[in-house]
Amino acid sequence: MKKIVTYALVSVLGLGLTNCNKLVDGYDVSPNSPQDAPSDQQLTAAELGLGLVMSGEIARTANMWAGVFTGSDRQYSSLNNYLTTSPDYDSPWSNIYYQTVTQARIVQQKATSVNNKQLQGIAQVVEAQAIGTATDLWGDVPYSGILVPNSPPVFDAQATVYTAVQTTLSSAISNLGQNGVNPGSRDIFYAGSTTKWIAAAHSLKARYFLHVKNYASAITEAQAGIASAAGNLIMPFDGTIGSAANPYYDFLDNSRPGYMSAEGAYAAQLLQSRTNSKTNESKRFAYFYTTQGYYALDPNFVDGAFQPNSSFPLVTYVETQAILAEALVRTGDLTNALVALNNIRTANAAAYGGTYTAYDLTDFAAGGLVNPASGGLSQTNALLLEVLREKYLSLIGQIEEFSDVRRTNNLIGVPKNVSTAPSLPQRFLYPQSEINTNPNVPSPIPDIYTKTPVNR
Amino acid sequence: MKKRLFWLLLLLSGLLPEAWAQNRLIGGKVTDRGSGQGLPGVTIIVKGRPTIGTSTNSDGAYSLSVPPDAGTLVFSFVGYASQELPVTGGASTLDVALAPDSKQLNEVVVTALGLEANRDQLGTAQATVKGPALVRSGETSVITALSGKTPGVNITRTSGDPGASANIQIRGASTLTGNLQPLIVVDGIPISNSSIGDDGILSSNGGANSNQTSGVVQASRLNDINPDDIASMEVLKGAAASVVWGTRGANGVIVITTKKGQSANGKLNLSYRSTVSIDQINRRVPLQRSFGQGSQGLYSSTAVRSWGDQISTRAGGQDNFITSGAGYQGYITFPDGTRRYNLAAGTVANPHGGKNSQDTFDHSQDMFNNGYSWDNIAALSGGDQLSNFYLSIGNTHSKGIALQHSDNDRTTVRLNVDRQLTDKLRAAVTTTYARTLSNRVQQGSNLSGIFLGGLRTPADFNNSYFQGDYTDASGNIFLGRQSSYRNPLGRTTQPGFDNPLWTEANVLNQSRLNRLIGSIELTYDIKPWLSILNRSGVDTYTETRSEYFPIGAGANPTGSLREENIVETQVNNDLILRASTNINSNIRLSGLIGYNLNVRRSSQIGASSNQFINPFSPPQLDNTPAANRKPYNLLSEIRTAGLYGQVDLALFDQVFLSGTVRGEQASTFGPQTSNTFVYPAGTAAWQFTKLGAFADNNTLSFGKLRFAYGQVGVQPQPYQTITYYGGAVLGDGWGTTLDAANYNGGFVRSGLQGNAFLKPERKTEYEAGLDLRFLKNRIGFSATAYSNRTRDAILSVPVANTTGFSSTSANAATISNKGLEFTLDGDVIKTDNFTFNLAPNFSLNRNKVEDLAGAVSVPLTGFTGSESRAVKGYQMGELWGNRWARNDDGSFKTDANGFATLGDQGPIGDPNPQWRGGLNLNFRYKGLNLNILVDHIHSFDVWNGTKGALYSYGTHRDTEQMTTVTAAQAASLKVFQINAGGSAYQQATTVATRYRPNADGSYTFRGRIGNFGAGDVALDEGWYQAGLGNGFNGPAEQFVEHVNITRLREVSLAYSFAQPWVRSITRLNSIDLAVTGRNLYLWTAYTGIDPETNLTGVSNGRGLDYFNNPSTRSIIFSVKFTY
Repeated sequence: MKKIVTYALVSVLGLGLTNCNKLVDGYDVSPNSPQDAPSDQQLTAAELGLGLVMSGEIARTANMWAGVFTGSDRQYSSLNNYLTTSPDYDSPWSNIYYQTVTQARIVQQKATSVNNKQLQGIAQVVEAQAIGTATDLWGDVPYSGILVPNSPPVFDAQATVYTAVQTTLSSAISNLGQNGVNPGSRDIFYAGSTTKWIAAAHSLKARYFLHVKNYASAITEAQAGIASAAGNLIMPFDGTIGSAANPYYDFLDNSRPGYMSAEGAYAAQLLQSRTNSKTNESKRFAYFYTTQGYYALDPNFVDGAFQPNSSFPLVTYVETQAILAEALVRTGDLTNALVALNNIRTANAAAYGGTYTAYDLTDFAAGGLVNPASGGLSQTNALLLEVLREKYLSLIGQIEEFSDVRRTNNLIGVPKNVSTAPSLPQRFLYPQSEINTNPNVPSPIPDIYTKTPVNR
Repeated sequence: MKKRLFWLLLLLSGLLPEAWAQNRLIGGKVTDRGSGQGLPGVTIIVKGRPTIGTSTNSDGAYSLSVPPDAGTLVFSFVGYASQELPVTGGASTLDVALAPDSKQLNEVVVTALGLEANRDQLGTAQATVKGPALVRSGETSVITALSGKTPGVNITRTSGDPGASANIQIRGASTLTGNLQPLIVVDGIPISNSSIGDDGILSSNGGANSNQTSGVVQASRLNDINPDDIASMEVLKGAAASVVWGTRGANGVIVITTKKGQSANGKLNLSYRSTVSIDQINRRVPLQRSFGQGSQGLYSSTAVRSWGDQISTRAGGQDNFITSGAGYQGYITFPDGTRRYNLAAGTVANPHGGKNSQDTFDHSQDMFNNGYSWDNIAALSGGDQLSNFYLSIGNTHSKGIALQHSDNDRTTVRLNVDRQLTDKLRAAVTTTYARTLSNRVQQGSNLSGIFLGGLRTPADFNNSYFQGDYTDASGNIFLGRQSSYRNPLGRTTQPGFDNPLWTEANVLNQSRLNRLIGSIELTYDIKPWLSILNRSGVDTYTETRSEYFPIGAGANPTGSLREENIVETQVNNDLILRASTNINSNIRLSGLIGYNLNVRRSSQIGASSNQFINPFSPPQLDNTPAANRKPYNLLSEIRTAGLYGQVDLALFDQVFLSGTVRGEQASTFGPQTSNTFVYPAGTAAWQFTKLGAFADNNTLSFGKLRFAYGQVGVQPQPYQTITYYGGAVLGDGWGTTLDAANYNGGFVRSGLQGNAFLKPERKTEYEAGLDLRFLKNRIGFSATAYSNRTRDAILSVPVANTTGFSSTSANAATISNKGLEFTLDGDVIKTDNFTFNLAPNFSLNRNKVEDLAGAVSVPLTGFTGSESRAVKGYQMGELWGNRWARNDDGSFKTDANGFATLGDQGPIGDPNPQWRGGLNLNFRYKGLNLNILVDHIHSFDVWNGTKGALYSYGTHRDTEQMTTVTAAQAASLKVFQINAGGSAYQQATTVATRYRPNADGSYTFRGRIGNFGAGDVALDEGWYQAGLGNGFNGPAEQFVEHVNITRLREVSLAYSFAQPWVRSITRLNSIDLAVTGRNLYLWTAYTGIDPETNLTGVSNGRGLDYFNNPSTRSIIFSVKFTY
């Protein structure tokens, strides 16, 4: 009798275990969500991520700290006064590393596997700009060891990251010149134009060489960079509120009306103070600022740069020329620097209207049109100052505003929002989310007045 | 071996019934031991030979032809203790008096597998609630009918709407993100008790993870079972009792056994019960009726709040309508011809403006009237020696207290049949069909919520005129506009908040559900000691939902429609081999091995659209621009396979040991984890009163000590083990969103990293208990203590974004419970005619979220600043929100004027009660029965968000008070400064600068004097409306109320006409009349509605009240005819 029982038990057990596997196997896969997506669709998402990073919350903070805009209410009053904590950076950090770089890197992997060099190149430029922005704002950041699941990466030295970004961009330029299935309109920036991408990559290389003060290389790259406003790398918005509106607009008038204004902003005052016989800035002022908002002066979300459907510049012809101009001044070639500056002025007239007659070098000599004798500046320094001011007023709203005032040791003289602060803020804080999850975050974390290594 | 020989003989005897030898006839009468009356329908069989049997006739008499080898007759009847009598000698008459089974003597209970067991031999606590007690409660839902009846079971209804969901929690929370509801097993097969909210089938996880703060309250699907069909409900609380269900047993198991027919010699039992109840709102929100619409003490018809003029000082009579000229805005014409025009706003000289009327309206209940329900059920049952059947048809129609479109209509048909096919093979089939139709009314944080719009309405606004035709100033007429207090003339299609009467008349939320639950159970007795059982069950329902907001609804001004089908199907099969043998006269060994397969599949398909084109169209998805239509479909399938075994050992009929083990595989487990998870349990029960020392002890007639240990699990939610892709929707920290859909679509790899190592949560529980019965079982006492801990609780754990992900589901948290449960059940007085039974129960549970993988808290449900969370070191569901800024000594940090200031967020209250108790009193005098059930929930916290909002709106009664101070006081008494840059009124800093003096120089303001520790301050409109004295700007902490509830849950008076004269006149067996008061009275200090409510349904977050629809009390009349 015992045998029968044993036999029955064993057979039921055996039957059961075999069938168990059959029953449950394969049902762990969701029928609702894909496990993959075509690489060009993922490129759209990566570009969207980059567009949000460059035009979203860190751009606002950067511009408040660079004297371009003013935090006026609630948390933005605090942020305006340099009161900030690590959690403020969780969301942009995630948008850089997860929404942009991760997706761009996967696009590259998929493109490589089908030998699509062009797509790989585009994704490399997207990745490089995101990482370049991160190292610019945070100094040492992870790059060499990123995107390994369950393995939080080390933080690379800022100089190393800049070098690696240059390498990525060089590789991108090489790849963009080769074969590939063009992503077309899936590329929301350039609709797949490899020529434009190559130029943009050179402009970005110029930007990052400038960040590390390698002026010679900056000149070379800027000369190969974006050659006209038609080649600008811009993030488009169709203006749909809540899903595709310019993030500045969304913040200023939709999500957080009244939080941020331009009351007392240095950039606005500077714009209004620059009228001379060759220059009338009223149109540019009206493009960037408005009196029709919540305060006496607001960023122009009504009929200017920050309307719902205003596209947002990521890297432009004007910036490329400004890089060129600055690098040439700093290497002593005033003549060609002036050419570059006047190229910007021509572009301004086309973009905004107003008056931007070309300057002569004499305008910068002591006592010249833009170098009043009271200033006591040499011709070279006067030209440098004008180049920096011109760039400052051209790139309103962009993160480069904050980069330039830090890099130049605030040569143009943006006043501090807080008189007791030791200086303008010099960096962003490492995000709390990374501190909580990555043991490699420097400890203690540098405060906002600690310069990033390349600016020391 | 001898025994087996006997069984073998018995078997043979069954095979050769007639040819063996001469039968003899035995007859007699079966009576009730108490009344002496004959009992009809008692089953009599020859022991061991189920095919030879009969049942008593209407007088209790029987006769049975018995084979000569028959040893014993078994007499059994529902509600009575079975009795076995030997057929000795040649006696042909055998009279039996059966004793009622009220004292649970050798009571048969049902285990988690739906198998029978003897309660006195169980090593675990198991509460039983009989069907009649459920029906008597007057609740139409099985879940709420369970309230207060057993210790350790916490029932919280989510709202008072008919058919609304209710939360069941057994012994506290054992998981953080998994479902907290117990597994429901009906006749051995698990059924769905989900409550799927607007989040959909995937996100809501059966309701547990739903964070729906608006919309309507859905039903709990257990509501589809008719309480009248239930014979008994067993509540299995501990891990050891539910271990055979493995990863589905962590929250306990409720085992429902439905009614079976009785063998009655072919006699049919027919009964019909009809019940009518009248329901009314049981607690209202206190509102003020002294001040009108407006602000700063001035009437204004455009004001959103009620800080206007004093109504009693108005002139009275007709308002001064502006019918032309300045301020003329046209008028609205209501169906009865009444017109409403614009009214001039008040001024300092005339604070009333154009308002003359002193009429006020009671908005705390003018959106309600009496509800009712009508419940009818007819049941037919019967059978013969070999088979039984039970057939019932029931309908319950409930109309809620909302004026329109709030109802629930459930029709159920049940057929249960079982038959002994041969001596060895038995088949049982159960089937239920349920159809539930309901209309649900909007509630919560919702511009169309009837309480939100209703309670915010100024007292001087008449909501009963809610729809009319608007004629504008130029004479253009707009038909069918909504009139609400923020849009009194219907000038726009944006009402602000909906007039609740308009919502009730026009906003539709309908559900139509068809459900089938069925099972087939086959049992084959291979040997007398060995049988095999296969039970297959299916539970499937299709629910069609429709939500319609016509044009002009607050929540959707352009109109919207959602249509969807939800289908849930669960298929379950158990194959069980059972064996039992007596090793010798003192040792009995039994055991089983079972194989369980379970598949749960849910799907949801639907579409939503908005912006109706033709306002006269019936609800049609395509009556919208093509771009405004959104289809969707979702599917979820979870498969589980388990193998289990149990061994029971009985020693000397006094020590009972049991060991159970289940091995399980499921589709939700990570593929990298071990293939099979094993859950063990062991129990021991010792009937120490079987020791010689206790023999024949009349004081302590029974005593049992029991111990149990068990491990059960919580299954991960599906599809967490693989990384998926999704449409790119990006956001930043401030609300900006970019959607790739606007860029022709784009996909990202999800930030949620699939965890291939995800394993089920594991709960380990220890339990010890003591069961005693005294005075020949007249008094029963039971005590249980338990301690459990869930490890590897699943949590969304953040990961470094630089690894390419933002979070992953991980086994990371720990949560524990400890508790005590006591029940006492005693016949205080017991005579032939009169019985007084007293049955109190008591339970307490202490929960602790022990570890959250480094996080301090994890949000569960609610609003930012006032939510329910899992907080490390606190009980699950801890209320979390903004607090006052405080100094180290606990005093307020005040501003320059002495007002308290806003601090940080933190724990602000505990929604878990300290303890619960129930007290059941039963008086029986002959056929008259009075039952009273009181229950008490002690010391817990509720966030009264309704009050927090109404303080701001100035409609709460607390804002009615007026205070007069002297001129000197007024000069120094600070008011809350609204805006330093605003008007003179807003800049004012003292009562004297803000208010105008009375004739005698004193000052009167609406509000009161408060003190935050830095001197007296005036708490007036500035503080309540613009300052921190309300729930929008101010800390949620101030609206958390610490309360007790004592509830007179049930008073039921029943009389049974079962006397012989009734039978002879009506030919009916009995007529039962009953009147029940349900939820008659509530003692609580809570200042809102009935605090037994929860905004977010059956979710894991608790204790939130924000314009939740109120509960009801009822009077219920019932009549039952039994043939």
